[in-house]
Amino acid sequence: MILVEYLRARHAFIAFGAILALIVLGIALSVSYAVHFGHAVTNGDVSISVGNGGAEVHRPAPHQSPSEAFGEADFKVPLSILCAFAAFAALVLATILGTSLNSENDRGGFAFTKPVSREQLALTYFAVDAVAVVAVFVLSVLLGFVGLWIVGILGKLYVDASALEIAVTGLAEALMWYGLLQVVSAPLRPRLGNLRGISWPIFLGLAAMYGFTGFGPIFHDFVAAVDFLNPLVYDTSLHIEGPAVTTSSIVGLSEPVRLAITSGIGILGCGLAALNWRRVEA
Amino acid sequence: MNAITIDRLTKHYGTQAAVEDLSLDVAEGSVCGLLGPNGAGKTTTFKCLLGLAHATSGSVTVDGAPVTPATFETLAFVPEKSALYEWMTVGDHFRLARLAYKNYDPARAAELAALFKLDSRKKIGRLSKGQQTAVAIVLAFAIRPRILILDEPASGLDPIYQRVVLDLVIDAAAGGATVLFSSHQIGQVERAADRIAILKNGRLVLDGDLDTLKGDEKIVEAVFDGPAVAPNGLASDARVRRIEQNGRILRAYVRSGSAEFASRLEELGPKAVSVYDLSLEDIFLGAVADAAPASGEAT
Repeated sequence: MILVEYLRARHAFIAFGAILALIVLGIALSVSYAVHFGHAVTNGDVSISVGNGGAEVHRPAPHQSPSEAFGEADFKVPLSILCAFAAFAALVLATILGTSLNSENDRGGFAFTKPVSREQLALTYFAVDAVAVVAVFVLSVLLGFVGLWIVGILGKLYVDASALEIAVTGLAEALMWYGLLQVVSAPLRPRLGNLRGISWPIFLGLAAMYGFTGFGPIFHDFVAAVDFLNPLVYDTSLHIEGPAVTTSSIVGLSEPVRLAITSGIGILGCGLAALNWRRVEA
Repeated sequence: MNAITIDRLTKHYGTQAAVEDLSLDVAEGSVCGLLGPNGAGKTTTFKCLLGLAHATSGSVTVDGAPVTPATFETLAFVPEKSALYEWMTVGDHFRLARLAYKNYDPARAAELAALFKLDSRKKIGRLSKGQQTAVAIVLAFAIRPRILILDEPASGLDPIYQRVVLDLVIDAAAGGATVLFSSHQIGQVERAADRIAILKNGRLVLDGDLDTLKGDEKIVEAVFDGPAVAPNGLASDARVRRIEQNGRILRAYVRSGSAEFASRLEELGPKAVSVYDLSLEDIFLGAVADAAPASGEAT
């Protein structure tokens, strides 16, 4: 049965990877065009002189160097940015694959009448999905390299201290989202497992309300308690000021604590999903 | 030895009983046809048997032991509704089976796929219902199973392929396989099964060796010029299990002394009197008509 999940994950990976590649290519070409034709420089890009002869528009000379175009000699690109993009991509794929157990529930017992236990089947699916999520993370970073190369600033890329944190917490967040989707959808009847799309507005809405106190302390505490199960409040945000990169999160906990909570909930969710799935009737 | 033993199986969905106190033994190497009207509990029985549904009470064993994943190395199941992956190709399903089963025989699969004219490159979603059934049949028979559970195995197939499926069942049984199958095609069951069990409203209403059941009774049928009227005392005749009157036709299900009974009908001056052997259809219709919905009567 590993073949089923392999093919399912491969389809999702290829389709999603193609969309990511198109997005990166589109952005890179757009920025590249702007850089080389002077439409996207950061300061002093356009000036207008008014003289006797009328108005004259000055643009920076085309074919300038990217550094010149971005207006800073010490302009650099931290790897954290690519990791954040890749973490987001991993989160989306984790959402897409997060109802893989549920998708077997409407198969009339096809998977359940094979000489393999459901626990083993679930673990196989989790493993395949995990590989796909990590693969899309790697692919996204590579696509980022390609995008920077197209723009001409690949040489400006540097490995900053926050890159590893962004990568690890991002993947753990994807694991948490995946585990929550699995535990909720695995025991549901067929076609009731389309929680993937719904999970995004729910988690985004809850994250947005995390610090909201307008409805009083009881509501705030309730939202904060519910947000314990919201992967987005553990999300690492990047703050870039010149060469300095700092990180923060909505929940305000340290990286190891966030990592422990998100990965712990993700693993627990997967475990509970596998246990619940054993009882599902076809 | 029994390959399949169902002991006092009961399955409730909420307050509704899908199967009630069902006991059935299927001997090793036999072909048992499970018959019943729609909603009789055939599919639920299969699901409980395979562990796809949890019995409310009672037990099911295969080869004397509860069903485990290892059971499926030698037990093949064809469900009533297609359970294949629409987005996968026929060939993907064959690869899947090759990876899943130790006993998978690729040559046998190729032979059967050719028999059903299946294109391995086609996606399941693009196949007709009959072709999807054919893929399920190929997957089931390609592992050369010792036990076959077939829920409407010819569903959606044309008569030519229905015959092919029937031949496969008979061939498997001749090779020693145990087969438990359901079908609304009573002719198929009659041809393949040596034993039948009839369910109605979740209860077993008739169970036995097919030849014995067929030999138990004869039908004596009289056709009259006008509306048939059963003479007084006919229904109370100990030999008569049941009498049907339909327009000019009088039909009696007679346990013994059918010739003598026919002579008695001749005295009523019908146009014709005939004596028939029971067909499985007669047995089936008789069993489901006779059984009170919740009587619990089982024979």
